[in-house]
This record gives sequence, structure tokens and C-alpha cells, in this order.
Amino acid sequence: MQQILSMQAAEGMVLGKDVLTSDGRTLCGKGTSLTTTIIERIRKMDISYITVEGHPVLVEGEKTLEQELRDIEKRFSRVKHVPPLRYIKKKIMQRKVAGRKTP
Amino acid sequence: MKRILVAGEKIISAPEHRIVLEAKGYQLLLMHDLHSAVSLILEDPPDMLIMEKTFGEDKAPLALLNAVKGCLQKTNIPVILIVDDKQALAGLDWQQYAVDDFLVRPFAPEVLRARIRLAEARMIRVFDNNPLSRLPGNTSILRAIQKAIDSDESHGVCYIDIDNFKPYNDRYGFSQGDDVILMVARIAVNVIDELAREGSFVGHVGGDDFVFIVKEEKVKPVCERILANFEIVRNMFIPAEDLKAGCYVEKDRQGRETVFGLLSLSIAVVMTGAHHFIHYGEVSTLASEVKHFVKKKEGSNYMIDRRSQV
Amino acid sequence: MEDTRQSQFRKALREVKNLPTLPGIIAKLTRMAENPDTTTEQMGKVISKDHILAAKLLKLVNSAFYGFPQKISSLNSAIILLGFNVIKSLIISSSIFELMESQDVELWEHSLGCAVVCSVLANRLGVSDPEEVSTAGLIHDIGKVAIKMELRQEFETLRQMVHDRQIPMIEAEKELLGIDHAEVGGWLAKSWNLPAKLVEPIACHHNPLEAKDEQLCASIIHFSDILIRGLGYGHGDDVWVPPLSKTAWQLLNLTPQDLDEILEEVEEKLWDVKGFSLEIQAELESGMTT
Repeated sequence: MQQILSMQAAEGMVLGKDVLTSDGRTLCGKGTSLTTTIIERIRKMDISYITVEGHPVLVEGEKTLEQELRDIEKRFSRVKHVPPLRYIKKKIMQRKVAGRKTP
Repeated sequence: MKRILVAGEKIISAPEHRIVLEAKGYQLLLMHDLHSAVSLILEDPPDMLIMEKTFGEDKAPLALLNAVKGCLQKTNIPVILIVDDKQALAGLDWQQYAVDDFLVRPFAPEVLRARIRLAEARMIRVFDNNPLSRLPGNTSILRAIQKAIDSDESHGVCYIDIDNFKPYNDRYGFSQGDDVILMVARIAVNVIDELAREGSFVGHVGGDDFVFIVKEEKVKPVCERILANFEIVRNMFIPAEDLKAGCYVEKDRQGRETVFGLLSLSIAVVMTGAHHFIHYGEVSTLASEVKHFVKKKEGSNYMIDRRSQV
Repeated sequence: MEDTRQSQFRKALREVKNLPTLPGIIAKLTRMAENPDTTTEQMGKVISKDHILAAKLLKLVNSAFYGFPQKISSLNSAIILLGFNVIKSLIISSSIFELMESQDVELWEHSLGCAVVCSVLANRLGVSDPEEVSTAGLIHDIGKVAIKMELRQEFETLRQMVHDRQIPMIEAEKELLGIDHAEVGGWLAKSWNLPAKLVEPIACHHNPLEAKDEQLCASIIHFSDILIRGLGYGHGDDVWVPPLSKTAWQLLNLTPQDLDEILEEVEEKLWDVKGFSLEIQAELESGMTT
């Protein structure tokens, strides 16, 4: 999942989380496929950020999946001998990979 | 009284002014900007504030005033406003500028000194404030109730009572008991400040009894919020083992060992609009009846007298 | 020789006056305070996302002046007892970082992330007051801010040491200063009259074994710190996930199933926090361009 500016939203993207108005009401539900009409509505409500499935927007300077995974390895490099942390590392890496895929 | 916060460039202009005051034992703390002045008030409150109406930018004087008068613990700090010319006084809204005295420039240092001493004396005289909670006492309370009765609008006169307070005091000591009283005072004041600032009043009868007056339509939200906030904060004042047990054993007023529940609040409400009250005494009599019933209920509750609920 | 240097550091750290907040947070709170419809609750929500303001509020409510020394250990209660006006005054009197340094945003994110994990863990473990634990989690690294503000030169040296010798910051702190940020945080909390429920977990978050009464809370923060570093949310002064204390792990008693669920819940909650973080940085950027 990725958090993007509503400005970056494009047709075909799928909402990863509900879009809420400032007073907590649901504008569009998770799983909605974005159309131009829906995007307009979101922008009109002054909502700046939305969450979409996958990783459709390439942010400048953002790391690739490979880089992210390497970072995680490095982070855990000094606690390789600690079983719970090995498990956690594995899980985090799995979730990272899964998060980049669009369902 | 020793420490005076002086907010403004030109108040203590000449060195003689300073010397005169310092010789009399006052410590002058000169602040030129809002940020430092408010920091001082928050962290190490002075005994008095002397403030220029033109202090800082724009809304600074009111913000500074609010930092002092907007807090229970500090409302007794006298504030003297310095104004540049008499014209400025004409348009001043004294409700907004809730100061205790003012001076028009130019003035001699002796005048300033005299006003400072007057402010100190007045603070001691005027308030029947409870020394612990700093809230108004009986005289002010009765006056406020009479005012509510005489008003055209309907008000809720609400009596707060802390349930199981005596066993709490017995078990944990008076110092802890005092902390609880202070806690309830602050909760009540802060809730009313936020939800019902206009036309409200909060007083401390003494011990664990408080009275507050709000407009009729505010009674429900205010009571509910006070009770909710109490539930959140209360646990900080009760040790873990007793919290878990949910009760403890202490001697009651007759000296018998009884099981007591934990601290809770009971609020008894009487609406002025539903009755033809003439005298404040009638309100407290009716409130006693309501109190009798609401205290019987488990936990924290509020109850409005039945006739008011038509 | 070492002793006098250490006591010099102690003195400087204890007297820390200036604890700056992120300008974006102050900007947001100032706007909220000026809006007559803003409630204390709404302000409280924003404040609960800033470790510096939270620490200041706790210090204030536990001061002798307000009358509750060493009693108040949760942010919620502090806000209820202090009230709107005092909070407004606090915002006015807060200083901000002169420049937005990336280090400060990282620490802010890390503190916030840690509070989130603490909250998830505390609720799962059925702790009696989860809010207390997340409050402690929010301010656990306050010692780092003190070191940075009061011992600027030493702080630069520490950074250099970490970079050149590839050692964790906590090791560098112990070597150069003779104390680490956890200990410093504990002193500060104590000097601010915070209750033991907060002081101990802060002081012992790298070594929960040392905690006397609050071993569980210290362990929760210890583990949350590790998890949030593992997730890479808000980078620390060094990149490495710190070692896990055996005591803490045993006390927490988590199964792999628990870990899966915790990770899921934490990532879920962090999304909302990330949105807030972006918002705050945007506030700052718009402030900088005006």
C-alpha cells in the first residue's frame, strides 16, 4: 500500500483504505476503483492524502523494493543470533514484499 | 509578595522607578516578548503582573492576561494594566481585559508603588476563596445562586459530592484527600471553561462539596463530561491493589468495619426554571433531597430533580 | 578526572531549559487554538503525537505549583487537569527548532511510532492502564533531546564516532559521556517530579532488568523501541536494531502468532500516523515559503 497526494491519484488505482472526511464520515470505501468522478470528489473535499493498493506512484528518491529489503537486512545484521528478532525480520520482509504488490 | 512580572518596554522607564520598588523588596522581572512572559508564568508564576496595553504584537496582551486569569491556580495573581492615555480607557471592555487595576501614563513611581500595595491588600480582602482549590466560597456561592434564581433564563444549580471520601481520607491520609479535592476542582473548572464559559459559576463549599451553575441546556453535557473525566483521572489517585480489588475495608462513621467502594462522584441538579424559587435556601433544600437519591446509586452519577424534568 | 567531567555533563543536562518542538506541530496547534470551535480533546490528540509537548505537560502537571507532585503518569489525565488555557499558554511559550533538521523529525517519528507499538502491546497484555504505557513510550528518548540541546559539541563528536567506527550511539554515549540517553532521560523525568511509573521505564528502556517496580512497562518500551527500529519507522542515530533483553522477552511471553498479529496491528496504526507526519511536514514547508 502507498500513501499518495490526492493530486497524484489516477484512474484505475484501488483504494487501500477508506477515505474519510474531516468529521469522520466515509467518503469512499476501501477497495473502490478510482474513477475521474471519484477523484474530483476527493479533491473537492480538500483531502490531501489517500492510501492506494500496491505502489503505483514512483516517488523521486524513494527506494526500490530491493533497496528496502537490503536496508532491513542491514538493520538486523547485529542481532542475527536472537531467534525472536530473526522471526520478526523475516515477517517484516515478507510484509514489505506483499505490500508492494497490487492484489 | 515579592516577584513582579513587568511586561512592556516603557513601564519601569527610569532607574529611580526600579530602585524605589527594589528597595521595598520587590523583584522586578522585565519581559519584552510574549513567549518569555508566558514561559515564566507557566513555569515559575510571579506574584503580580504589570502589563502594558501595547505589549508585544497584536493579541499579545490578551494572551498574556489569559495565561494568568485563565488558570485556577493563578486567578489570585493581581494584574495592573498600564495605558498610555485616557482616551484608550473609553473603549476598553473590562470583561475582556479582566485586570484588577489600571494606571494612566505618566505617573510618579510612588503612585505605582501605592497601587501595587493596594492590589496586594485587595486580593486578601475580597476573596472568600477556599485556600486549597482557590475557588469562591460560601458567600460568593449563595450570591451566585440568588442571581441564577432571579435571572430570566433557567439555570442548573449542581452540587458535586465525592462518594466514599471519608474512608478514602482515613485510609490514605488528609494530604491525599486534599489532592483528590484539588483534582475534582480542576476537572469541574476545566470542563465548564470549555463547554459552558458564558454565565457559569464554580464554587467550593468546603471539604468535598462543590457547587456549579450553568445554563439549563448545558447541564447534561457538562455533567457527563465531568463524570467521564473523573473516571479517567481518578485511577491515578488510588493504589493498584485497591483498584484491582475494587473496594477496601475501613471503619464507618459509627466505628464499624465496612466495605467501601472506590471514589466516585455524585452530582445533584436543581433547575431554577422549573420552580418558583424566591430564596437561595430553597434551592439547597431541594438539592439535599436529590443528593440523598443520587448518592445511593453505585458509581458516578448525576441526577436532576424530578419536577425539573417535565 | 572522569568524575568531574561526568558531573559537569550531569549538571548541564539537568538544567536543560530549551526543549524545542517541530515548527509544524506548533503551527498546527496555534491554528487550532485560534479557532474557537477547537476542543481540548482535539488539541490533546495532536499533543499526544509530540514527545516534547507531552513531556512538558507532564512536567507542568506534576509540579508542586499545580499540586499533584509525582502523581500524574498519563497524558490524558494531564490534559484534563491542566485545561485549555494552560495548554494554550504552553503552545505560546514553546520554542521551536530554528532549522528543521532531519534528525529531529526522525526522533519525533521514532517516539510517536514507539508510543503506537506500546499502546498495541499494552492493550494485548491487558495492562491496567495502557495509556500510561504509551505515554512513557512517547517520551522515552527525551534524554536524547537534552544531550543534543545542552551538549552540542559532544553531540557532534558522538555522531562522528558512530559514523567512523560504526558503533551504536548508546555505546558512543557511554564512552564519551560516561552515561547514556536512557539514564539522562531518567534523571530529567525525576527532576521534573514525574511519577516512578514513568521515570523507571524511561531510565531502563535499554536494560529492563534494572527496573524495580516497573519491569513490565520497561520491557514493553524496550521491545517497542526494537520493533519500531526494525520497521525502519523514524531512523535512530545509528541503523542497527538494538539487542533484545532476555528478561524483557520472558516477561512479555509472546508467541509467533502474537508477533504476527502485533505486526499487523502496528502497521495498520502506523499508516494513520504517517499521514499525520506528512501533514506536519507540509505545514512546515508552507510556513517556510511564506
